[in-house]
Amino acid sequence: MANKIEFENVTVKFNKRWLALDNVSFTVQKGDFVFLVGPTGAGKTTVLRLIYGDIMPDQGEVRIDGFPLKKISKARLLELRTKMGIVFQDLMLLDDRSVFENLAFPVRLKGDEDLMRRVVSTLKDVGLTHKSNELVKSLSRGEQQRLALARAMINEPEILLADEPFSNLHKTDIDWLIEKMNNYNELGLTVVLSTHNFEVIPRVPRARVLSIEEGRITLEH
Amino acid sequence: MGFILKKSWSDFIFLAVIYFLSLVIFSSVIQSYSYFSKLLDENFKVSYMKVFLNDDVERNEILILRKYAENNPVVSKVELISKERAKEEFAVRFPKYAGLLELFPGSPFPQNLEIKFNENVLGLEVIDDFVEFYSHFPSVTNVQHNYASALQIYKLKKSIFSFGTILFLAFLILYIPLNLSFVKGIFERESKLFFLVEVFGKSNFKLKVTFVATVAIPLIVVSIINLFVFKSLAGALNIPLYPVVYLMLFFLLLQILFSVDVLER
Repeated sequence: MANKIEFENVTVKFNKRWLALDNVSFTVQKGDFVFLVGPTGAGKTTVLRLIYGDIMPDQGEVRIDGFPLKKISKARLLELRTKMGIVFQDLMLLDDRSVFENLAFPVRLKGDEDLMRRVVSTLKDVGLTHKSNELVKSLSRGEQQRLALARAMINEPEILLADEPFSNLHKTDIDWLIEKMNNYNELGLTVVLSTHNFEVIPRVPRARVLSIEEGRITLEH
Repeated sequence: MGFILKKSWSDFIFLAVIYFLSLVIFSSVIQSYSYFSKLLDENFKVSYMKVFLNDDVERNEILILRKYAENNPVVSKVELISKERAKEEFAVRFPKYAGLLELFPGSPFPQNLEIKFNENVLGLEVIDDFVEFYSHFPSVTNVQHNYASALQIYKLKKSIFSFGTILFLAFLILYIPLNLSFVKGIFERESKLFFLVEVFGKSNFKLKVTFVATVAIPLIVVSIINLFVFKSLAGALNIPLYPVVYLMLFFLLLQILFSVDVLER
């Protein structure tokens, strides 16, 4: 169960020089909805990458359910990732494959035999059933973002990490997306979301906000 | 595998063309070298000098001529061929003309000393010394040998080896970065897939193996064609095929190393 995320005095330097995170500490409990806000380059993406173990801290500890990511094996890290759904800033969709294939991909990897039912119900959930056979590159940005969310959610993760999911979206798409994430969170999903769009924050009244600037947490409420 | 092939089809075609040209050129060089080596071996098995003698040559003089050859380390065998034996040998070698011999009362062929050399003679001036030595004897009418042709083949073989080595080194200098750049290009088109597999909690080891195997497909296909062509050639020239097989295995090893290198970066 990947429920609790702990950052303890985490420092990350890129190329051993550029300080991306400076002595950051916070805890995310199961069922939390956390907004990471701050300007571009503040360190929001670095926090998300640390959570799914794409990078490791130079100093301090990142713990998932008490396990320090630095010390766990690759196999255990991969196992932890199966509990996470990730929406990347650049979406990372397979552009030359259909919507259906993009959704089926993580289900196949998981080895779920009920692939068809799962994909169909997820497509319905995000309103993309009619686009099932279309290639990703033919979708609008809003539809691609829905697909990215659907792909992150299809294996029923316990934590959703979303990196700037509202970038370049119309207001209607943003409304739909934040509503959807709010609904998932109400059902018990932990959400950690980075954004520089402050307008969405009031849409989730119970959400916690971590403000990051130049690699430091400057405000938490 | 099919997906990777389809997505980078033009790169795979280009790789296949490079492999084909490379394999054909280097297989040709290797097989030429094998052919001349074989020719040289065969030539030297019968590499000889014939010292033709007057009919009235004295026995002592024959002994001197013979001793000179026998004392030389590059000589493997010395034999006096009598007029009668020369006639018999002619009849065996040229049976079609054996009837002509009946026109002569005795043997029309002169007696001679047949000197066979071992392979150490190659590249030495010893043959010229032999010719010069024997030509001083009035009883020696003529000296013949096949050393010149053997030396030509030997020089040709050495040239092919030098040319092949230089060509191969020059080729590698161009081939390594070119191949790496193509493999990198193919990988970059799939890098998202590699990343996502691990994001979804699976090891991408199988994907890596598939990638390495897929990138090797053009080489394998071209190698089979090349092998087929050079097998026929090797059969016709009666030369071994294994150097070509080793060459292809070397290319395959290089390809695997390049793929692994790109993956590990």
